[in-house]
Amino acid sequence: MDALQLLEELGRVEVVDADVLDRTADTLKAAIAVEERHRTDGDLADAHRLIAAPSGVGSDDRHEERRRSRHGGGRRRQRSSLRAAVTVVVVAAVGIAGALKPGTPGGPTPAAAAVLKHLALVAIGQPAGDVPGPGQFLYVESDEAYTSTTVGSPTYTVLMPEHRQIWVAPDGSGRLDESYGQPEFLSAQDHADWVAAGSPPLPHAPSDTSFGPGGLSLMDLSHLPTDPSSLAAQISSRQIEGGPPGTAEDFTQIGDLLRETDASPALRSALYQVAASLPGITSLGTVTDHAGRPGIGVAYVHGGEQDELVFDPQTSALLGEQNSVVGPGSAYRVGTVFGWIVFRQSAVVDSTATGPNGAPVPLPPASSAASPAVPIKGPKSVPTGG
Amino acid sequence: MDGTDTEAVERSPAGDGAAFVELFWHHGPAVHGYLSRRAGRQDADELLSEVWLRAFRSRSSYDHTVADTRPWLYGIARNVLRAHWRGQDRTRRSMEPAFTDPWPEADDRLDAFAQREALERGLATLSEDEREVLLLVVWEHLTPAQAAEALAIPQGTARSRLHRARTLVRDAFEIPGITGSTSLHNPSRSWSKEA
Repeated sequence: MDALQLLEELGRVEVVDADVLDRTADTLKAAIAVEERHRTDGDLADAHRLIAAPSGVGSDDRHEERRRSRHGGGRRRQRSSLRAAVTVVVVAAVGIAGALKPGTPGGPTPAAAAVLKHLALVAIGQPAGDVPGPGQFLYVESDEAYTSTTVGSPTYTVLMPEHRQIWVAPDGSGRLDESYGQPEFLSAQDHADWVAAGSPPLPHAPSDTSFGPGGLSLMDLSHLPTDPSSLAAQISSRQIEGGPPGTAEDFTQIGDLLRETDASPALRSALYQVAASLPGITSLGTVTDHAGRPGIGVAYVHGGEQDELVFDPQTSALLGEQNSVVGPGSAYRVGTVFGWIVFRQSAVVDSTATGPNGAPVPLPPASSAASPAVPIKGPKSVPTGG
Repeated sequence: MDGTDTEAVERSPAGDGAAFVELFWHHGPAVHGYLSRRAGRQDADELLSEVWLRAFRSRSSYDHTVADTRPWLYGIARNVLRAHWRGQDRTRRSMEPAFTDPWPEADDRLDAFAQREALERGLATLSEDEREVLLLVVWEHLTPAQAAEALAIPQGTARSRLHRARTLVRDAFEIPGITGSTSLHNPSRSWSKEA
C-alpha cells in the first residue's frame, strides 16, 4: 500500500446530503433574486409592453382550445359524453390555480425567463419519479373550478367546483372519480338568467367510472426529446398535440404535458426552458394557489385573459393553475377568475382501488367497473335548459 | 444543462442568476467534499453556502479565458476555510488544525490506526502550501496546474511542491512493519488491526 493511495482512500469518505445542497441552492437563489430584483426594477415599462401584446385569438376559439387540450383524454371523454347526452351543457374546462395577488393583474416582472430557468434547474435536481408500468396507474388528485355554460333560453354560466381523482394506465384504462361542489355564478346576469330558466338544479351529480383500455388516455411522453430546442420545435410545429399556431397555444401545450402526466424531471426541465423562451411570458413572483400554497407564478396574457401556472419553488412541480381576466377583450369582466386547478397529490399505484401510499379508495359499484372502453356516463342531473 | 462553466459565470453579471445556480449544481457536491475533508462534514454543511455566496459576489473576478471553474471555486473555498480555521482557534498560529479533526468518518471505514498515524506524520512535515497542493491533487483530483491556479501560485512552484510533498509523505509512511501488498478495495479486511 502506497502512502498516497491510502491518502486518496481516506479522502473518499463522504457524500453530501441532498438537503444540504438544496438549502445552499436556496440561499444562493435568494441572493441572486435580490440582486436581479434590483436590476429589473427599472424595467417595468418593458413588462407592461409585453403584457399589452395579446395574441388576438377569438374568445370562443380560445375556450375551445383549452377544452381540447386541458386534462387529456379523461376530460375529453367526459365532454363528449355530455354532448352526446343532452347537447346543451358546454363545459369549458379551464385550468388554473394561483390566486392573483390583488392589485397586480398581469404581473409586472419581466424576469419570467430567469424564474423558469431556475425552475428548470430545480427540476433537474429532482429524483426521477415513478412511471406506471404494465398493470400500474398514474394517480392524480386535484381540485378545480371551471366554467360550465348551460345553453338554452336563456344561457347562463357558472363556475363549477370539482374534486377529481384519476387513475390512468399507459393503455388508457383506469378510473375517473369526480364530485362537484356548489357552483358560483360568474355574474349577477348569469344568476338572473338562471332564475329566468326556472332555477334548475346546478351541481352535477357525482361520477365515479371505470374505463377499459382506451377509455382514458395517458400521454406517452417517452419519445419526447429532453433537449429544449428539439422539444420547442416539436411543440411549436404541433407534432405532439396538434392545434392552432401561436404562443398562447404553446403555453397551453406546455401545461398539457405537465397536467396528469408522468413527465420526468428531465422533460419538465426542458419544458420550463421552452417556456422561458416564449415571447410575452411574464413572471408573477410568489403567488398563492387556491389551496393556500405559495408558489412561483408565470403567466401568458391573451385577449385580456391571463393563463397562469404556479410551480412549487422547492420541487418545481406544477402546483396549480388559474385563468382570470386582466384586461379588455374577454367575455368576462376584468377581475373575474373563471377557472383554477390545484394538484393535490400524485403517485404510481398498482390498483384503481388504491390511492397514494396504498390507502384504499373504494371502487364504484361492480357494474361500472366492468364498463366498456367507451363509458356510458350521462350527466344525471344536468339542467337541460329547456 | 447547456453551455460551459465559463458561459455560466459570464452570463451571471448580465442577470442570468439561473446560470450561476446551474454552476452550483455542477460543482456544489465537489466543493462540499473539499470542505468536508478539510473541516469535517458538519462545518462543511455550514460553509458551503458561504463559499457560493462569495463566489457569486466575486464572479467578476473570474478569469473568463479559463474553461474550468473548479480552480477558481476551490480558491474561494480555500479562503473560506482559512477564515473558518482562524475563527475556530485564535490561539493557534498555524492556519490549519491538526489532521485528526476531519477524519472521524474515515476512521469508521479504515481501522488502520498505525497507517493513518504515519500518514499524518508525513503530512505534518509539509508546509501549508505543500500540503494544500498535495490534497487538491489527491483528494480533489485537480491537475497540478489547476491546483496552482486555485492557490494563485505559479505552476512550476506547484509542481515542485507537489513533488516534495509526495516524497515526504512516502518517506514518513515507509516505516518498519508496514507492507505494501494490501488491497485498497477491501479496506475493512486489509486494514483491520488484526490483519
